[in-house]
Amino acid sequence: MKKFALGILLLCGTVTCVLAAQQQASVDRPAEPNLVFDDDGGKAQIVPVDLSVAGSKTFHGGPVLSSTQQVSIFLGAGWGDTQVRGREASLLDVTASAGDTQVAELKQHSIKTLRAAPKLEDFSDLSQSKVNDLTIQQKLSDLLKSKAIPAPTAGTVYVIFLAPGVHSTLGGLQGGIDYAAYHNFVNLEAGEIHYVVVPFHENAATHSAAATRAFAETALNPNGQGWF
Amino acid sequence: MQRLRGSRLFLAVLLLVVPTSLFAQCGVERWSVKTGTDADVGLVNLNSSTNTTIAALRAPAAPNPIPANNRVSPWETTEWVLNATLTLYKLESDSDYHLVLQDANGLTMIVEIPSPSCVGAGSPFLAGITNARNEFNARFTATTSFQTANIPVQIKGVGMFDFLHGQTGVAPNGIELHPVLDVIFNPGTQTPDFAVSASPTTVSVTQGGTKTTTVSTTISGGFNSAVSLSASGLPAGVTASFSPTSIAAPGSGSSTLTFTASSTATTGTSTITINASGGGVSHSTTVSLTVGSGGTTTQILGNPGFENGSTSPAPWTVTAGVINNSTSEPPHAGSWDAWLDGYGTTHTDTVLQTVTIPSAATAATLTFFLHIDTAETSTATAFDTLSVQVRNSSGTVLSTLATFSNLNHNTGYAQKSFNLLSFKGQTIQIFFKGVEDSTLQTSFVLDDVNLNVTQ
Repeated sequence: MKKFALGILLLCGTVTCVLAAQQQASVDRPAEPNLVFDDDGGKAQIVPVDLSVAGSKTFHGGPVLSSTQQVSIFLGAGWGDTQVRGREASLLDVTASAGDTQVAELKQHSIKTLRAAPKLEDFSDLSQSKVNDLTIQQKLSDLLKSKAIPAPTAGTVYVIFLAPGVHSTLGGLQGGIDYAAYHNFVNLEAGEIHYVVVPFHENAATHSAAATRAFAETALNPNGQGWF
Repeated sequence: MQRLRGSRLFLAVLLLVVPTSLFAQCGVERWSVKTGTDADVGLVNLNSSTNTTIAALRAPAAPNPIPANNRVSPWETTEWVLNATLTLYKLESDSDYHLVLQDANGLTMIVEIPSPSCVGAGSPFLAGITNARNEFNARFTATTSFQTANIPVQIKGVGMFDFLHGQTGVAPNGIELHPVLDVIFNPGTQTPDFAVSASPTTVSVTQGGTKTTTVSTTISGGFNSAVSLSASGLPAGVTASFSPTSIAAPGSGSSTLTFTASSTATTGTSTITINASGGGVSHSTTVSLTVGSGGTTTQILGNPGFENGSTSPAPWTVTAGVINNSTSEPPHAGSWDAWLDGYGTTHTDTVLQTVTIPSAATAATLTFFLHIDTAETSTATAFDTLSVQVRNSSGTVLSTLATFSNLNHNTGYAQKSFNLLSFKGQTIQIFFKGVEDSTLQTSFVLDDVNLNVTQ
């Protein structure tokens, strides 16, 4: 049995590498910097893994959010771990820890930040499957239908913090490898939903910084035609 | 779908190895409208089509707001026919085929073909979507990257305003044909046509009884006409009736054919010809009808639905892991089924039961429900097969009743029926043998296996 397990794991490692290489090779990218194709034909904006790569933003004619309110969703069984859970407090209001650049950008466009809404913890075990953007959209739809999270207002930004071990994907890209976070929007019966997805990062400061930047870019570029 | 057995370790490994694309996911945004399970789908008129152009579809302003679960008339309640050039196509993660069409002036719009597995069973679009998907697959292989094309197409589909997300090729107002119900490549060069089939093709009825089979039609080449149905070759004392009596335009659908045998109907087996005509085209198919003398019909197989579970499958003899109650391959009825193969590696599964057909039998009909899903993509080669055989008690093959393969994959269960009267007075094995080659899984799922004997 042990030999079987070892063999399978070795095979797995090899095949996973091959598949990952194939996947990387076949991912289309739009021309716009930091925009990628999502899982149903549209585009989403990512925060690169290298957070130092910011680049200057230009305006493309779309709206910005006039105010924002963070609704935090801690998704995945890994958040049930006491040590991991201890990090939640520092993530509940990402604008409170926003860097100068993000604060300046939000102020420059008169974007107000409202007090964060109460968090939701959903310890579903997602560790054995890939969580792509459609999974996130379906989860948001389910949570809204069950009223587990507040209904959206014009400024609501749902920030989904994925637990350690949850494998995030977006249009063939992989969280932690191709992006540190991303934001997107979807129209559900509850209305237009803006959301941020933040894969877990071992480094708490990097984790928070990625969330902050994706949150700020949601405000500046909520529908893909604003500032980017 | 990969078959999950054994340890959790194997499950975890499998999930790491298998590409995400094998686990088909469906969309979320306006998904009910995109696939025909929304509150207004009854307003869509599928009995006639309206010719249009890309320019005309791009003309109206997008509705504001766009309703999540309702339709905007007439754009989203009309079946449109559009001639344009296909320039790009891609398989999206929501399992849609994303097609970009362009007109002579360079105007573009998107049309999308959902995966039939993402369409609710009650959708009136399901047959058309399946038809369009098959038509596209016969010509192109969509992958997760955009591929270019330059081919004239005629697309039939229902309008749908999508939200603007920066989609490739999107019309300024977001309108798409979503779903696509028919695709004709190089229109004008194909002859409109249809095909007719029946399932099951073998029917046994006793004197004084009734039995049914389902007659189905599929269209191609832009065929657009009602198809009328009739039956000939009936033995004396047997009548045939169709419900409905014709398949409504554009000619793709199904009808239930009921055979009614009088108490004095001539016994024996006849070949019934089912004639289908419409749009100046006629085709036929046949059904083998056996009329048995009146008597008592008894189902003689033990544990016909495999409901005894995996620990005591008797009187079935099965290979390991065949008896299944996982939701990965749900049963036709009850809680259990027999799941042969599905490993994606070289493998053979068998299911057999020994039974004696009484010598006094006047009818003996083997029926079962079969579901096939596969990761094979070939439309021509049977890589993985399921043989349905009758063997003697020593295991010698007396007859192979049918061989199914990955080419026969279906979205639900289909009932199969075979006449075993020629084996009356014999002790035989009902033998199912699933053989899978070295790669790409095919699952053969059996349920409710009955051998009805009349005597």
